[in-house]
Amino acid sequence: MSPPTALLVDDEPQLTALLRRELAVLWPELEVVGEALDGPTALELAESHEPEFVFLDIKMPGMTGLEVARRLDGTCHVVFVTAFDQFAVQAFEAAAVDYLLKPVDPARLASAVARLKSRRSAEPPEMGSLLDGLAARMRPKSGWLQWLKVQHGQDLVLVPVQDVAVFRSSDKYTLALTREQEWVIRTPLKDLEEKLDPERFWRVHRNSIVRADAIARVTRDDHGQVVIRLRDMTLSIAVSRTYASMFKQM
Amino acid sequence: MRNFTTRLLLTLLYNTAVAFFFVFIGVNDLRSALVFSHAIGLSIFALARALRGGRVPAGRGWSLAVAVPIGTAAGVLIASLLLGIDLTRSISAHPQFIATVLGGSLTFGAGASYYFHARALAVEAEVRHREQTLQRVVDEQRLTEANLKLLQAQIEPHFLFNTLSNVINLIDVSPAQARRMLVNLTTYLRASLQRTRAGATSLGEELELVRAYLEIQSVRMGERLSYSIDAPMELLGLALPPLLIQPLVENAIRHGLEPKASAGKVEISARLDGRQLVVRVKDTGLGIDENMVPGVGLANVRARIQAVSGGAGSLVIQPNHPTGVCVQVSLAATQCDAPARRLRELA
Repeated sequence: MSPPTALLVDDEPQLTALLRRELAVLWPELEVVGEALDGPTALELAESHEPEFVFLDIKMPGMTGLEVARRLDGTCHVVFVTAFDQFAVQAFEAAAVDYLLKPVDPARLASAVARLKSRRSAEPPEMGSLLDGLAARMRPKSGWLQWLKVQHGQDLVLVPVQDVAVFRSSDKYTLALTREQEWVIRTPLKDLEEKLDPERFWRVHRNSIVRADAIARVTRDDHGQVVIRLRDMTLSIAVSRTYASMFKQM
Repeated sequence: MRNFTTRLLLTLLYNTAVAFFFVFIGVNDLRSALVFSHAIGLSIFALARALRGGRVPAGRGWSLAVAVPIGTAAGVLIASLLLGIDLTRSISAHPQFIATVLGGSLTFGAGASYYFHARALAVEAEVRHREQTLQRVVDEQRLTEANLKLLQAQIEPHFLFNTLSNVINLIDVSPAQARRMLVNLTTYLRASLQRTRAGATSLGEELELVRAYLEIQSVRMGERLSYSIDAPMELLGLALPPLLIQPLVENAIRHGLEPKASAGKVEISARLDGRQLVVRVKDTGLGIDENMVPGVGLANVRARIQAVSGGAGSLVIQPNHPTGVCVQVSLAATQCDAPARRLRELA
Protein backbone atom coordinates (compact mmCIF):
# COMPACT_ATOMS: atom_id res chain seq x y z
CA MET A 1 0.00 0.00 0.00
CA SER A 2 1.25 3.48 -0.87
CA PRO A 3 1.91 5.87 2.07
CA PRO A 4 -1.21 7.65 3.43
CA THR A 5 -1.80 11.25 2.29
CA ALA A 6 -3.69 14.10 3.92
CA LEU A 7 -4.93 17.63 3.27
CA LEU A 8 -5.27 20.06 6.21
CA VAL A 9 -7.90 22.81 6.03
CA ASP A 10 -8.37 25.61 8.58
CA ASP A 11 -8.82 29.36 8.12
CA GLU A 12 -6.30 29.92 10.92
CA PRO A 13 -2.85 29.12 9.46
CA GLN A 14 -1.36 28.65 12.95
CA LEU A 15 -3.77 25.83 13.61
CA THR A 16 -2.97 23.82 10.48
CA ALA A 17 0.70 24.22 11.41
CA LEU A 18 -0.03 22.84 14.88
CA LEU A 19 -2.02 19.90 13.55
CA ARG A 20 0.73 19.14 11.07
CA ARG A 21 3.36 18.97 13.83
CA GLU A 22 1.16 16.80 16.04
CA LEU A 23 0.35 14.42 13.19
CA ALA A 24 4.07 14.18 12.36
CA VAL A 25 4.68 12.82 15.87
CA LEU A 26 1.74 10.41 16.02
CA TRP A 27 1.65 9.25 12.41
CA PRO A 28 5.11 9.75 10.85
CA GLU A 29 4.21 7.90 7.62
CA LEU A 30 1.33 10.32 6.87
CA GLU A 31 2.29 12.62 4.05
CA VAL A 32 0.63 16.06 4.22
CA VAL A 33 0.10 16.98 0.58
CA GLY A 34 -1.32 20.42 1.18
CA GLU A 35 -2.74 23.06 3.53
CA ALA A 36 -5.68 25.30 2.67
CA LEU A 37 -7.08 28.39 4.41
CA ASP A 38 -10.48 28.31 2.74
CA GLY A 39 -13.00 26.05 1.08
CA PRO A 40 -12.36 26.77 -2.61
CA THR A 41 -8.58 26.24 -2.18
CA ALA A 42 -9.30 23.01 -0.31
CA LEU A 43 -11.42 21.72 -3.21
CA GLU A 44 -8.70 22.61 -5.74
CA LEU A 45 -5.99 20.89 -3.72
CA ALA A 46 -8.20 17.85 -3.14
CA GLU A 47 -8.76 17.54 -6.86
CA SER A 48 -5.10 17.84 -7.82
CA HIS A 49 -3.61 15.72 -4.99
CA GLU A 50 -6.44 13.24 -4.34
CA PRO A 51 -5.60 12.88 -0.62
CA GLU A 52 -6.89 9.89 1.31
CA PHE A 53 -7.78 12.02 4.34
CA VAL A 54 -8.99 15.60 4.70
CA PHE A 55 -8.85 17.29 8.09
CA LEU A 56 -11.53 19.93 7.74
CA ASP A 57 -12.35 22.90 9.99
CA ILE A 58 -16.10 23.58 10.04
CA LYS A 59 -16.24 27.33 10.55
CA MET A 60 -14.51 29.01 7.64
CA PRO A 61 -15.16 32.18 5.65
CA GLY A 62 -16.90 31.90 2.31
CA MET A 63 -17.60 28.22 2.38
CA THR A 64 -18.06 26.18 5.54
CA GLY A 65 -16.34 22.85 6.16
CA LEU A 66 -19.74 21.19 5.83
CA GLU A 67 -20.15 22.57 2.31
CA VAL A 68 -16.61 21.49 1.37
CA ALA A 69 -17.32 17.99 2.68
CA ARG A 70 -20.55 17.88 0.68
CA ARG A 71 -18.55 18.50 -2.50
CA LEU A 72 -15.86 16.02 -1.52
CA ASP A 73 -18.37 13.36 -0.59
CA GLY A 74 -17.12 9.89 -1.43
CA THR A 75 -13.69 10.87 -2.74
CA CYS A 76 -11.85 10.76 0.60
CA HIS A 77 -12.19 10.20 4.35
CA VAL A 78 -13.17 13.45 6.08
CA VAL A 79 -12.16 14.26 9.65
CA PHE A 80 -13.99 17.33 10.92
CA VAL A 81 -12.12 19.67 13.21
CA THR A 82 -14.19 22.04 15.32
CA ALA A 83 -13.77 24.31 18.30
CA PHE A 84 -17.40 24.12 19.32
CA ASP A 85 -20.38 23.04 17.28
CA GLN A 86 -22.65 21.12 19.61
CA PHE A 87 -25.20 20.07 17.01
CA ALA A 88 -22.55 18.91 14.58
CA VAL A 89 -20.65 16.97 17.22
CA GLN A 90 -23.83 15.20 18.32
CA ALA A 91 -24.63 14.32 14.72
CA PHE A 92 -21.07 13.08 14.09
CA GLU A 93 -21.25 10.90 17.19
CA ALA A 94 -24.55 9.43 16.08
CA ALA A 95 -23.36 8.75 12.52
CA ALA A 96 -19.85 7.58 13.54
CA VAL A 97 -18.25 10.38 11.52
CA ASP A 98 -14.68 11.21 12.57
CA TYR A 99 -14.09 14.53 14.28
CA LEU A 100 -11.56 16.31 16.47
CA LEU A 101 -12.13 19.04 19.02
CA LYS A 102 -9.87 22.07 19.18
CA PRO A 103 -7.55 22.43 21.01
CA VAL A 104 -6.67 18.91 19.92
CA ASP A 105 -5.87 16.57 22.77
CA PRO A 106 -2.86 14.41 21.74
CA ALA A 107 -4.41 11.29 23.32
CA ARG A 108 -7.62 11.80 21.34
CA LEU A 109 -5.65 12.47 18.21
CA ALA A 110 -3.76 9.20 18.76
CA SER A 111 -6.98 7.19 18.95
CA ALA A 112 -8.39 9.03 15.91
CA VAL A 113 -5.22 8.13 13.99
CA ALA A 114 -5.62 4.47 14.96
CA ARG A 115 -9.20 4.53 13.70
CA LEU A 116 -8.22 6.24 10.46
CA LYS A 117 -5.53 3.64 9.80
CA SER A 118 -8.17 0.93 10.04
CA ARG A 119 -10.40 2.84 7.59
CA ARG A 120 -7.84 3.01 4.82
CA SER A 121 -9.13 -0.08 3.09
CA ALA A 122 -12.80 0.87 3.45
CA GLU A 123 -14.87 3.07 1.15
CA PRO A 124 -15.51 6.59 2.49
CA PRO A 125 -19.01 6.68 4.02
CA GLU A 126 -21.92 8.50 2.36
CA MET A 127 -22.67 11.70 4.35
CA GLY A 128 -24.87 13.76 2.00
CA SER A 129 -28.09 13.93 3.98
CA LEU A 130 -26.29 14.35 7.28
CA LEU A 131 -24.35 17.34 5.93
CA ASP A 132 -27.40 18.96 4.35
CA GLY A 133 -29.26 18.72 7.62
CA LEU A 134 -26.40 20.27 9.56
CA ALA A 135 -25.81 23.02 7.03
CA ALA A 136 -29.46 24.06 7.20
CA ARG A 137 -29.25 24.14 10.95
CA MET A 138 -26.15 26.29 11.12
CA ARG A 139 -27.33 28.96 8.72
CA PRO A 140 -28.40 31.95 10.81
CA LYS A 141 -30.85 33.10 8.17
CA SER A 142 -34.57 33.22 8.30
CA GLY A 143 -37.07 33.16 5.48
CA TRP A 144 -38.68 36.30 6.91
CA LEU A 145 -37.66 39.90 6.85
CA GLN A 146 -35.39 40.74 9.81
CA TRP A 147 -34.08 44.21 8.98
CA LEU A 148 -35.76 47.33 7.61
CA LYS A 149 -33.76 49.68 5.46
CA VAL A 150 -34.98 53.15 6.35
CA GLN A 151 -34.05 56.40 4.68
CA HIS A 152 -33.47 58.85 7.54
CA GLY A 153 -32.50 62.30 6.27
CA GLN A 154 -29.33 61.76 4.27
CA ASP A 155 -28.61 58.39 5.85
CA LEU A 156 -29.74 54.86 5.38
CA VAL A 157 -30.49 53.24 8.74
CA LEU A 158 -30.98 49.56 9.52
CA VAL A 159 -33.75 48.82 12.01
CA PRO A 160 -34.25 45.31 13.38
CA VAL A 161 -37.80 44.19 12.67
CA GLN A 162 -37.90 42.70 16.18
CA ASP A 163 -37.85 46.25 17.61
CA VAL A 164 -40.92 47.38 15.72
CA ALA A 165 -44.11 47.23 17.78
CA VAL A 166 -46.53 48.43 15.12
CA PHE A 167 -46.58 49.01 11.39
CA ARG A 168 -49.22 51.49 10.31
CA SER A 169 -50.09 52.61 6.85
CA SER A 170 -50.27 56.33 6.30
CA ASP A 171 -51.02 57.63 2.79
CA LYS A 172 -48.30 56.31 0.48
CA TYR A 173 -45.98 55.38 3.34
CA THR A 174 -45.80 52.98 6.21
CA LEU A 175 -44.89 54.03 9.73
CA ALA A 176 -42.80 51.62 11.78
CA LEU A 177 -43.10 52.44 15.47
CA THR A 178 -40.44 51.24 17.90
CA ARG A 179 -40.26 52.04 21.57
CA GLU A 180 -37.94 54.93 20.85
CA GLN A 181 -38.78 56.13 17.40
CA GLU A 182 -41.17 56.43 14.51
CA TRP A 183 -39.67 55.46 11.15
CA VAL A 184 -41.11 56.16 7.74
CA ILE A 185 -40.67 53.39 5.17
CA ARG A 186 -41.69 53.32 1.56
CA THR A 187 -42.86 49.73 1.38
CA PRO A 188 -46.69 49.56 1.45
CA LEU A 189 -48.18 47.68 4.38
CA LYS A 190 -49.57 45.00 2.10
CA ASP A 191 -46.11 44.15 0.71
CA LEU A 192 -44.57 44.22 4.18
CA GLU A 193 -47.16 41.79 5.47
CA GLU A 194 -45.98 39.17 3.00
CA LYS A 195 -42.37 39.48 4.15
CA LEU A 196 -43.02 39.41 7.90
CA ASP A 197 -43.16 36.23 9.97
CA PRO A 198 -46.93 35.75 10.49
CA GLU A 199 -46.29 33.98 13.80
CA ARG A 200 -44.76 37.14 15.24
CA PHE A 201 -46.56 39.90 13.35
CA TRP A 202 -50.33 40.02 13.28
CA ARG A 203 -52.56 41.98 11.00
CA VAL A 204 -55.24 43.52 13.25
CA HIS A 205 -56.67 46.21 11.05
CA ARG A 206 -56.72 47.29 7.42
CA ASN A 207 -54.00 49.77 8.34
CA SER A 208 -52.03 48.12 11.14
CA ILE A 209 -49.80 45.14 11.84
CA VAL A 210 -48.80 44.52 15.45
CA ARG A 211 -45.89 42.53 16.85
CA ALA A 212 -47.54 39.85 18.96
CA ASP A 213 -45.15 40.04 21.90
CA ALA A 214 -45.52 43.83 22.10
CA ILE A 215 -49.17 43.44 23.09
CA ALA A 216 -49.75 44.18 26.77
CA ARG A 217 -53.52 43.61 26.83
CA VAL A 218 -56.57 43.57 24.66
CA THR A 219 -59.70 45.37 25.88
CA ARG A 220 -63.12 46.30 24.62
CA ASP A 221 -64.18 49.91 25.09
CA ASP A 222 -67.65 51.34 25.82
CA HIS A 223 -68.57 51.30 22.14
CA GLY A 224 -67.66 47.64 21.70
CA GLN A 225 -64.46 48.46 19.85
CA VAL A 226 -61.63 45.98 20.50
CA VAL A 227 -58.44 47.85 21.38
CA ILE A 228 -54.87 46.64 21.81
CA ARG A 229 -52.69 48.25 24.44
CA LEU A 230 -48.97 48.00 23.86
CA ARG A 231 -46.20 47.26 26.28
CA ASP A 232 -43.99 50.26 27.10
CA MET A 233 -45.95 52.54 24.79
CA THR A 234 -48.88 54.86 25.39
CA LEU A 235 -50.29 54.09 21.99
CA SER A 236 -53.36 51.90 21.57
CA ILE A 237 -54.37 50.15 18.37
CA ALA A 238 -57.89 49.56 17.15
CA VAL A 239 -58.73 46.05 16.01
CA SER A 240 -61.17 45.95 13.15
CA ARG A 241 -64.21 43.67 13.20
CA THR A 242 -62.66 41.32 10.65
CA TYR A 243 -59.73 40.56 12.92
CA ALA A 244 -61.42 40.87 16.34
CA SER A 245 -62.20 37.14 16.38
CA MET A 246 -58.45 36.53 16.86
CA PHE A 247 -58.78 37.83 20.40
CA LYS A 248 -61.91 36.03 21.48
CA GLN A 249 -61.45 33.95 24.62
CA MET A 250 -58.18 35.67 25.45
CA MET B 1 -70.38 50.35 35.35
CA ARG B 2 -69.89 49.97 39.10
CA ASN B 3 -68.29 53.34 39.10
CA PHE B 4 -71.41 54.81 37.50
CA THR B 5 -73.75 53.25 40.07
CA THR B 6 -71.64 54.49 42.96
CA ARG B 7 -71.60 57.99 41.58
CA LEU B 8 -75.35 57.95 41.02
CA LEU B 9 -76.07 56.73 44.55
CA LEU B 10 -73.75 59.34 46.03
CA THR B 11 -75.48 62.01 43.98
CA LEU B 12 -78.94 60.91 45.17
CA LEU B 13 -77.78 60.90 48.78
CA TYR B 14 -76.23 64.31 48.41
CA ASN B 15 -79.38 65.71 46.77
CA THR B 16 -81.50 64.45 49.66
CA ALA B 17 -79.13 65.99 52.20
CA VAL B 18 -79.26 69.31 50.38
CA ALA B 19 -83.08 69.15 50.36
CA PHE B 20 -83.13 68.63 54.15
CA PHE B 21 -80.75 71.54 54.56
CA PHE B 22 -83.16 73.84 52.70
CA VAL B 23 -86.06 72.59 54.80
CA PHE B 24 -83.98 73.14 57.93
CA ILE B 25 -83.20 76.75 57.12
CA GLY B 26 -86.88 77.24 56.32
CA VAL B 27 -86.75 78.00 52.63
CA ASN B 28 -88.93 75.13 51.36
CA ASP B 29 -91.32 72.47 52.46
CA LEU B 30 -89.93 68.94 52.29
CA ARG B 31 -91.75 67.90 49.08
CA SER B 32 -90.66 70.80 46.90
CA ALA B 33 -87.17 70.82 48.41
CA LEU B 34 -86.73 67.17 47.45
CA VAL B 35 -88.06 67.69 43.94
CA PHE B 36 -85.92 70.77 43.34
CA SER B 37 -82.80 69.27 44.83
CA HIS B 38 -83.03 66.00 42.86
CA ALA B 39 -84.03 67.69 39.62
CA ILE B 40 -81.08 70.05 39.81
CA GLY B 41 -78.57 67.47 41.10
CA LEU B 42 -79.51 64.84 38.54
CA SER B 43 -79.49 67.37 35.70
CA ILE B 44 -75.95 68.40 36.57
CA PHE B 45 -74.95 64.77 36.95
CA ALA B 46 -76.39 63.76 33.58
CA LEU B 47 -75.04 66.78 31.79
CA ALA B 48 -71.51 66.40 33.16
CA ARG B 49 -71.52 62.76 32.18
CA ALA B 50 -72.77 63.45 28.69
CA LEU B 51 -70.11 66.11 28.18
CA ARG B 52 -67.34 63.74 29.21
CA GLY B 53 -68.61 60.96 26.98
CA GLY B 54 -68.70 58.55 29.91
CA ARG B 55 -64.96 58.74 30.46
CA VAL B 56 -62.81 59.78 33.37
CA PRO B 57 -62.34 63.53 32.91
CA ALA B 58 -58.82 63.60 31.55
CA GLY B 59 -58.43 67.32 30.90
CA ARG B 60 -62.18 67.78 30.82
CA GLY B 61 -62.56 69.96 33.92
CA TRP B 62 -64.36 72.48 31.74
CA SER B 63 -67.34 70.11 31.54
CA LEU B 64 -68.19 71.03 35.15
CA ALA B 65 -68.09 74.74 34.52
CA VAL B 66 -70.69 74.15 31.80
CA ALA B 67 -72.70 71.45 33.56
CA VAL B 68 -73.29 73.29 36.86
CA PRO B 69 -75.03 76.47 35.63
CA ILE B 70 -76.90 74.82 32.77
CA GLY B 71 -77.82 71.81 34.90
CA THR B 72 -79.10 74.14 37.62
CA ALA B 73 -81.24 76.09 35.19
CA ALA B 74 -82.57 72.89 33.63
CA GLY B 75 -83.23 71.39 37.08
CA VAL B 76 -85.20 74.45 38.20
CA LEU B 77 -87.30 74.24 35.04
CA ILE B 78 -87.98 70.53 35.45
CA ALA B 79 -88.81 70.89 39.16
CA SER B 80 -91.19 73.76 38.41
CA LEU B 81 -92.94 71.69 35.77
CA LEU B 82 -93.23 68.72 38.13
CA LEU B 83 -94.57 70.82 40.99
CA GLY B 84 -96.85 72.84 38.71
CA ILE B 85 -95.23 76.13 39.61
CA ASP B 86 -95.55 78.96 37.15
CA LEU B 87 -91.95 80.15 37.05
CA THR B 88 -92.45 83.62 35.59
CA ARG B 89 -95.06 84.38 38.22
CA SER B 90 -92.95 83.01 41.02
CA ILE B 91 -89.96 85.06 39.97
CA SER B 92 -91.90 88.31 40.09
CA ALA B 93 -93.80 87.33 43.27
CA HIS B 94 -90.86 85.93 45.30
CA PRO B 95 -87.63 87.12 43.69
CA GLN B 96 -85.74 86.55 46.91
CA PHE B 97 -86.94 82.97 47.20
CA ILE B 98 -85.89 82.11 43.65
CA ALA B 99 -82.52 83.78 44.10
CA THR B 100 -81.91 81.69 47.21
CA VAL B 101 -82.83 78.47 45.38
CA LEU B 102 -80.63 79.31 42.42
CA GLY B 103 -77.69 80.53 44.51
CA GLY B 104 -77.93 77.52 46.82
CA SER B 105 -78.14 75.11 43.90
CA LEU B 106 -75.15 76.64 42.21
CA THR B 107 -73.11 76.49 45.41
CA PHE B 108 -74.06 72.92 46.28
CA GLY B 109 -73.86 71.78 42.66
CA ALA B 110 -70.41 73.27 42.27
CA GLY B 111 -69.31 71.71 45.57
CA ALA B 112 -70.50 68.24 44.62
CA SER B 113 -69.13 68.46 41.11
CA TYR B 114 -65.80 69.62 42.40
CA TYR B 115 -65.71 66.66 44.76
CA PHE B 116 -66.33 64.17 41.95
CA HIS B 117 -63.87 65.92 39.69
CA ALA B 118 -61.13 65.94 42.33
CA ARG B 119 -61.77 62.30 43.12
CA ALA B 120 -61.50 61.33 39.45
CA LEU B 121 -58.27 63.28 39.14
CA ALA B 122 -56.87 61.54 42.21
CA VAL B 123 -57.81 58.13 40.80
CA GLU B 124 -56.20 59.06 37.53
CA ALA B 125 -53.02 60.22 39.26
CA GLU B 126 -52.96 56.98 41.23
CA VAL B 127 -53.34 54.92 38.05
CA ARG B 128 -50.57 56.89 36.39
CA HIS B 129 -48.33 56.45 39.41
CA ARG B 130 -48.95 52.71 39.41
CA GLU B 131 -48.23 52.46 35.71
CA GLN B 132 -44.97 54.32 36.19
CA THR B 133 -43.96 52.07 39.06
CA LEU B 134 -44.83 49.03 36.98
CA GLN B 135 -42.80 50.37 34.08
CA ARG B 136 -39.81 50.90 36.36
CA VAL B 137 -40.07 47.37 37.72
CA VAL B 138 -40.34 46.02 34.19
CA ASP B 139 -37.29 48.04 33.12
CA GLU B 140 -35.27 46.76 36.06
CA GLN B 141 -36.32 43.20 35.40
CA ARG B 142 -35.35 43.53 31.76
CA LEU B 143 -31.96 44.89 32.77
CA THR B 144 -31.35 41.90 35.02
CA GLU B 145 -32.42 39.50 32.30
CA ALA B 146 -30.26 41.30 29.78
CA ASN B 147 -27.26 41.05 32.07
CA LEU B 148 -27.82 37.36 32.60
CA LYS B 149 -28.18 36.67 28.90
CA LEU B 150 -25.10 38.72 28.24
CA LEU B 151 -23.11 36.63 30.68
CA GLN B 152 -24.25 33.49 28.89
CA ALA B 153 -23.61 34.85 25.43
CA GLN B 154 -20.44 36.63 26.37
CA ILE B 155 -17.64 34.17 26.09
CA GLU B 156 -18.11 32.68 22.69
CA PRO B 157 -16.84 29.08 22.74
CA HIS B 158 -15.39 29.20 19.21
CA PHE B 159 -13.36 32.21 20.20
CA LEU B 160 -12.18 30.69 23.47
CA PHE B 161 -11.17 27.27 22.14
CA ASN B 162 -9.57 28.58 18.96
CA THR B 163 -7.59 31.06 21.02
CA LEU B 164 -6.37 28.27 23.29
CA SER B 165 -5.39 26.21 20.24
CA ASN B 166 -3.37 29.17 19.03
CA VAL B 167 -1.67 29.49 22.39
CA ILE B 168 -0.74 25.79 22.36
CA ASN B 169 0.77 26.25 18.92
CA LEU B 170 2.66 29.41 19.92
CA ILE B 171 4.17 27.75 22.98
CA ASP B 172 6.27 25.64 20.58
CA VAL B 173 6.80 28.25 17.88
CA SER B 174 7.06 31.57 19.71
CA PRO B 175 6.80 31.43 23.53
CA ALA B 176 6.87 35.23 23.86
CA GLN B 177 3.86 35.57 21.59
CA ALA B 178 2.09 32.74 23.43
CA ARG B 179 2.61 34.61 26.65
CA ARG B 180 1.27 37.82 25.20
CA MET B 181 -1.81 36.07 23.90
CA LEU B 182 -2.50 34.52 27.30
CA VAL B 183 -2.16 37.90 28.98
CA ASN B 184 -4.69 39.33 26.52
CA LEU B 185 -7.02 36.41 27.06
CA THR B 186 -6.77 36.91 30.82
CA THR B 187 -7.63 40.60 30.46
CA TYR B 188 -10.57 39.69 28.28
CA LEU B 189 -11.90 36.97 30.59
CA ARG B 190 -11.40 38.94 33.78
CA ALA B 191 -13.13 42.00 32.38
CA SER B 192 -16.00 39.90 31.03
CA LEU B 193 -16.56 38.08 34.30
CA GLN B 194 -15.95 40.99 36.65
CA ARG B 195 -17.92 43.62 34.90
CA THR B 196 -21.12 41.73 34.39
CA ARG B 197 -21.38 42.09 38.16
CA ALA B 198 -20.13 45.67 38.50
CA GLY B 199 -22.30 48.69 37.73
CA ALA B 200 -20.96 51.47 35.54
CA THR B 201 -17.43 51.33 34.20
CA SER B 202 -15.45 53.79 32.11
CA LEU B 203 -14.89 54.18 28.40
CA GLY B 204 -11.17 53.61 29.04
CA GLU B 205 -11.82 50.21 30.61
CA GLU B 206 -14.15 49.17 27.84
CA LEU B 207 -11.58 50.10 25.21
CA GLU B 208 -8.88 48.15 27.07
CA LEU B 209 -11.10 45.10 26.84
CA VAL B 210 -11.80 45.77 23.17
CA ARG B 211 -8.08 46.12 22.49
CA ALA B 212 -7.27 42.82 24.24
CA TYR B 213 -10.00 41.12 22.22
CA LEU B 214 -8.81 42.60 18.91
CA GLU B 215 -5.18 41.68 19.60
CA ILE B 216 -6.20 38.08 20.11
CA GLN B 217 -8.31 38.15 16.98
CA SER B 218 -5.54 39.61 14.88
CA VAL B 219 -3.21 36.77 15.92
CA ARG B 220 -5.92 34.29 14.95
CA MET B 221 -6.91 35.92 11.69
CA GLY B 222 -3.47 37.16 10.70
CA GLU B 223 -3.49 39.53 7.76
CA ARG B 224 -7.23 39.23 7.32
CA LEU B 225 -7.82 41.63 10.20
CA SER B 226 -6.60 45.15 10.88
CA TYR B 227 -8.04 47.52 13.44
CA SER B 228 -7.80 50.98 14.95
CA ILE B 229 -9.05 52.49 18.20
CA ASP B 230 -9.35 56.23 18.30
CA ALA B 231 -10.42 57.94 21.53
CA PRO B 232 -9.14 61.22 22.99
CA MET B 233 -7.51 60.82 26.42
CA GLU B 234 -9.96 63.20 28.11
CA LEU B 235 -12.90 60.97 27.24
CA LEU B 236 -11.48 57.80 28.80
CA GLY B 237 -12.89 58.63 32.25
CA LEU B 238 -16.48 58.93 31.03
CA ALA B 239 -18.97 56.43 32.41
CA LEU B 240 -20.23 53.61 30.25
CA PRO B 241 -22.38 50.59 31.15
CA PRO B 242 -20.16 47.49 31.16
CA LEU B 243 -19.75 45.53 27.94
CA LEU B 244 -21.67 47.94 25.75
CA ILE B 245 -19.09 48.38 23.01
CA GLN B 246 -17.35 45.01 23.20
CA PRO B 247 -20.39 43.03 21.88
CA LEU B 248 -20.57 45.41 18.92
CA VAL B 249 -16.90 44.80 18.12
CA GLU B 250 -17.45 41.09 18.54
CA ASN B 251 -20.40 41.24 16.12
CA ALA B 252 -18.26 43.10 13.60
CA ILE B 253 -15.67 40.31 13.78
CA ARG B 254 -17.97 37.32 14.12
CA HIS B 255 -20.60 38.24 11.54
CA GLY B 256 -18.69 40.73 9.40
CA LEU B 257 -15.01 39.85 9.08
CA GLU B 258 -14.55 36.24 10.18
CA PRO B 259 -16.91 34.89 7.50
CA LYS B 260 -15.33 37.15 4.86
CA ALA B 261 -12.59 35.55 2.78
CA SER B 262 -10.70 38.76 1.98
CA ALA B 263 -9.07 41.16 4.45
CA GLY B 264 -11.05 43.73 6.40
CA LYS B 265 -10.88 46.41 9.02
CA VAL B 266 -12.61 47.44 12.26
CA GLU B 267 -12.46 51.06 13.36
CA ILE B 268 -13.57 52.12 16.81
CA SER B 269 -13.83 55.81 17.58
CA ALA B 270 -15.18 57.90 20.44
CA ARG B 271 -16.01 61.58 20.43
CA LEU B 272 -18.04 64.13 22.31
CA ASP B 273 -21.04 65.60 20.53
CA GLY B 274 -22.36 68.37 22.78
CA ARG B 275 -23.11 66.52 26.02
CA GLN B 276 -23.39 63.15 24.35
CA LEU B 277 -20.65 60.55 24.25
CA VAL B 278 -20.71 59.00 20.79
CA VAL B 279 -18.93 55.70 20.16
CA ARG B 280 -18.81 54.26 16.69
CA VAL B 281 -17.85 50.76 15.58
CA LYS B 282 -17.30 50.53 11.85
CA ASP B 283 -16.29 47.43 9.90
CA THR B 284 -15.71 46.53 6.28
CA GLY B 285 -17.16 43.03 6.67
CA LEU B 286 -19.97 41.27 4.85
CA GLY B 287 -22.65 43.69 6.01
CA ILE B 288 -26.22 42.94 7.05
CA ASP B 289 -28.47 40.86 4.87
CA GLU B 290 -32.10 41.82 5.38
CA ASN B 291 -33.04 38.25 6.28
CA MET B 292 -30.18 37.76 8.77
CA VAL B 293 -31.48 37.07 12.26
CA PRO B 294 -30.08 39.70 14.64
CA GLY B 295 -28.04 38.21 17.48
CA VAL B 296 -28.79 38.35 21.18
CA GLY B 297 -25.92 40.82 21.60
CA LEU B 298 -27.54 43.63 19.67
CA ALA B 299 -30.95 43.41 21.32
CA ASN B 300 -29.13 43.25 24.61
CA VAL B 301 -27.08 46.39 23.98
CA ARG B 302 -30.20 48.23 22.87
CA ALA B 303 -32.16 47.13 25.94
CA ARG B 304 -29.39 48.27 28.25
CA ILE B 305 -28.98 51.65 26.56
CA GLN B 306 -32.73 52.09 26.97
CA ALA B 307 -32.64 51.01 30.61
CA VAL B 308 -29.72 53.20 31.71
CA SER B 309 -30.55 56.30 29.69
CA GLY B 310 -34.32 56.30 30.06
CA GLY B 311 -34.76 57.19 26.40
CA ALA B 312 -31.88 59.72 26.17
CA GLY B 313 -29.45 57.28 24.54
CA SER B 314 -29.56 55.68 21.16
CA LEU B 315 -28.19 52.86 19.05
CA VAL B 316 -28.12 53.45 15.31
CA ILE B 317 -27.12 50.78 12.81
CA GLN B 318 -26.18 51.79 9.30
CA PRO B 319 -24.64 50.13 6.27
CA ASN B 320 -21.01 51.15 5.82
CA HIS B 321 -19.69 52.14 2.39
CA PRO B 322 -18.79 50.26 0.29
CA THR B 323 -19.30 47.21 2.55
CA GLY B 324 -19.87 46.39 6.18
CA VAL B 325 -21.77 47.91 9.05
CA CYS B 326 -21.46 51.05 11.13
CA VAL B 327 -22.99 51.01 14.61
CA GLN B 328 -23.23 54.17 16.66
CA VAL B 329 -23.97 54.38 20.37
CA SER B 330 -24.86 57.71 21.99
CA LEU B 331 -25.18 58.25 25.72
CA ALA B 332 -25.22 61.22 28.06
CA ALA B 333 -21.59 62.00 28.96
CA THR B 334 -21.04 61.65 32.71
CA GLN B 335 -17.83 61.08 34.64
CA CYS B 336 -17.22 57.61 36.01
CA ASP B 337 -16.79 57.39 39.79
CA ALA B 338 -13.53 55.49 40.11
CA PRO B 339 -12.00 54.99 36.70
CA ALA B 340 -8.40 55.32 37.87
CA ARG B 341 -8.67 52.51 40.41
CA ARG B 342 -10.35 50.15 37.99
CA LEU B 343 -7.88 50.96 35.25
CA ARG B 344 -5.05 50.01 37.60
CA GLU B 345 -6.80 46.74 38.39
CA LEU B 346 -7.06 45.96 34.71
CA ALA B 347 -3.44 46.80 33.91
